[in-house]
Amino acid sequence: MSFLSVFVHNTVSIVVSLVYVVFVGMAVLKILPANPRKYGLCRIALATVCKVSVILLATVFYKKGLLAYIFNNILLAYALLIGNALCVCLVFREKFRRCWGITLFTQIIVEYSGTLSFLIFTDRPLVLNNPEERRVYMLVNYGVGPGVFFLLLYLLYKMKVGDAYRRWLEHGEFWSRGMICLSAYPILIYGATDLLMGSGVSRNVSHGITLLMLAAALVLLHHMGMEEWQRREFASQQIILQQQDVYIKTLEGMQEEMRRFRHDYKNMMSGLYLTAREGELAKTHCFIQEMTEDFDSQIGDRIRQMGQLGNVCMTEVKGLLLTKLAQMQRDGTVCELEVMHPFRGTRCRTTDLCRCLGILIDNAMEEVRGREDARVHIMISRQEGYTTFRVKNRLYHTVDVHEIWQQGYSTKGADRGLGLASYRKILADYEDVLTATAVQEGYFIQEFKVREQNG
Amino acid sequence: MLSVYICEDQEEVRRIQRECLEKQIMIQGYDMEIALSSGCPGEILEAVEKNPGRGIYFLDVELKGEEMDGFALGREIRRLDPRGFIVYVTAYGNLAFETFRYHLEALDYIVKESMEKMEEGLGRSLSVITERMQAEQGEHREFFSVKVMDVIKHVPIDEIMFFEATQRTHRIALHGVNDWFDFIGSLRELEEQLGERFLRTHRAYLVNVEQIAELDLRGREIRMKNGERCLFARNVKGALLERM
Repeated sequence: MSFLSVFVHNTVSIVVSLVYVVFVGMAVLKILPANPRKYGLCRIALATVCKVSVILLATVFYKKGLLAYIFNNILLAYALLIGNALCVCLVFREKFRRCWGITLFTQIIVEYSGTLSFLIFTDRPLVLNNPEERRVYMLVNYGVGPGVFFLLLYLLYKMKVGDAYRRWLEHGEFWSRGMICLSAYPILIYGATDLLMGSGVSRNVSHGITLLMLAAALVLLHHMGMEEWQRREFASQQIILQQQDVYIKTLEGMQEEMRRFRHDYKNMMSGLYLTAREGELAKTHCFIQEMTEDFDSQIGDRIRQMGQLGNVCMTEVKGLLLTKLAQMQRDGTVCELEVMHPFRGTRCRTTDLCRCLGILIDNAMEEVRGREDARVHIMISRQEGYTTFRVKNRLYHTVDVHEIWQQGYSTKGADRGLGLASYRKILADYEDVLTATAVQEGYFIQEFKVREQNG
Repeated sequence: MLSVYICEDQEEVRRIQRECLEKQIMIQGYDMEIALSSGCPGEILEAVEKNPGRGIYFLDVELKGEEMDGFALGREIRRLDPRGFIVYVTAYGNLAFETFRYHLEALDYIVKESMEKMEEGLGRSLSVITERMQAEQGEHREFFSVKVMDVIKHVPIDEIMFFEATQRTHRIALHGVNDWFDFIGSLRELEEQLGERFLRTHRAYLVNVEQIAELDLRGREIRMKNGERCLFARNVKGALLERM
């Protein structure tokens, strides 16, 4: 076969493998965005150069018969993987480690489905110079192979292995043992095959063993992903339990105050009755006023606050607010919480939402701490398919708003002030979130608005 | 002549409010009249639709047993009358009011726990409204208004430093003296809308020429009066220098 025909053949199969990687990245692992942003031309050019060099390498290796040596096979396998990962990284602007993870995942499944198809439909290595055998090769490689590939993908999707893998990619350490093992799979596969073939084991058996090893890799992945997920679930449940504990204690405390007030109330009422009976209208008026004010200042405010908190139906946010409320109470800061309509959830990831809201509230608390009449105002409002989160506090010094976003900026001293930079970074990732900052009549107002999916 | 509307479901309270307002209007000589006093939100909305124009609305927050509550009524009224004055009346001393102010631009709230407090509140509202209207007449500021999701933000044009196109498509950041926010739009449309005062100095920047403090010709940067920096492209240098 001529250089050109091999080159063309390699181009086709390598481009197909890239398409597979992108497909897996988008549909199964859901790491790559489904609607990517504009592609930069120079990036695409770079990616193409990358690809072509890998294809050239593959073609040269084949023509020079270098693929007889197992070392070259492994080298080529890695070149392919790195090539694919780089392309995806360049075009989708995703971190390289994630692209590497996607490429590995895809390649394992591709190998698996390829090996499986060949195992089922052929019984010996095909000689590609023979046109008859070449046809069989084409059929299996481009027909059956992809079929099995997609079937496997579907199975994995259903088994949620994709999700487990993604979680593992996002949360685990990059160079963990698992990732190193996985990255070494070409070495393992080729090494094992070579060893087995060399020691006279039949092709079918050796391929079978390869398949088993690959399967083992996938099972391992699933297991590790699940483990990570369960650990996090447990941790978050612990937090929820703690927060519910605080909530119950607060409510019990309020109930106790109500009981005491009712007791006092009865005394007050008898006093009131007497005053009214003696016809002292002005005094009665005064009495009633005092009573209402007393109630409001003692528990009326707390009841209202708890009522607003009751409108927060998202446990994590409720917990966050409770923690902040408790802290503010210790600081002597009044917190005005407004959640007029029940707030059940939002499009943002819960962790991001809690983090951003937490940062804004922390900053507000910091600013007013220790001041006379310290107040922090928090509003969560869902209207017409948009949710607004707003934190407002009095400003006691001048603020250069365009500088506060920089990492390390703080009016409170060195080593502080990473909050707002992270806040911005987190929210910048979201298409449907807009932020706003304002200084109005001596108040500092931070807000972010989320456009919800169904209006 | 400003029309005053009252929506309050307790008949007795409604009567007191109407009497008090009529008295205030007469004593102070305001150019206002009570257009409608009703317990039914639907009637109020019908009347407002039939009689377009700026109005003053005293709305009960806790409308019981009606199709819409005070907030929803305020929202509908705001749609029909974007510049009207909405004042809420509530039985609770410490109303969570920021949501009303934010979404409906409601002016203030009055507590109806005692007759004196309510009358005082009503009188005060009318005087504040009159002051505001007088201030508006004296004001010649131009405003830039833009819809950000579900609210409309107004910024005085002379307080805008520049607009910046951020990395996300169609997302523009407004940098002002006291306001900084993102919204969906395009610099080209803004350029057309705002006219001469704003110069497109760069693919990503639309700058208010009057707010430029100085130019850094070497670094091709513009320093604004509030310290922020923008870039300018080479081919705009001439136009910029001309304007300065």
